[in-house]
Amino acid sequence: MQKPLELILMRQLAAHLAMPIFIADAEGMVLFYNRAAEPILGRPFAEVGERPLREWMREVNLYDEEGAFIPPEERPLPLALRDRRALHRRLQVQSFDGRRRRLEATVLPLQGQGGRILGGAVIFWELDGA
Amino acid sequence: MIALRERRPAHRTFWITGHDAVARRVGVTAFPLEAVDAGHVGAVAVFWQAGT
Repeated sequence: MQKPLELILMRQLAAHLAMPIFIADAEGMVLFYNRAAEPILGRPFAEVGERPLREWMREVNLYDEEGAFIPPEERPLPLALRDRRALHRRLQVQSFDGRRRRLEATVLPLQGQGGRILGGAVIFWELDGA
Repeated sequence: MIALRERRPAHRTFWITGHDAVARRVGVTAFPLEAVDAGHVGAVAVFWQAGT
């Protein structure tokens, strides 16, 4: 099925930037993460591919700044989509390679014409000394 | 300015007062635009009204 134009353009933009960016749609499908995100997430997107966010959440663990596990329903992306608001968090991520890294992440709900939620984008970066 | 000058992302929350004289608390994330094939071309700042 054809994705909304806004998601297609967001993916195009992300593919051309050196800033780590992760994109999911409103149906809970991970659509893309760019090359800059791959060293942080521990595996190239080409190997992982599009997959449901709930599967992703079983393999990629998030922790808060103090190291407490964040359950799937309380993760920043689902919260941003549910509440239709951007948010910013300091997090720890344990990804495909098993290594835990400290991050800052800004999550943006992607709203189309008429305010319809199309998905979300996560812009993130690794903290110094992680 | 951090994103432009130091070419690194940054996030801050602060208060702004707009032309309507209303003070609003905003979250701002700025990051440098480093194009894969063109180097440093600018910066983007996204901002939203944050909770009080």
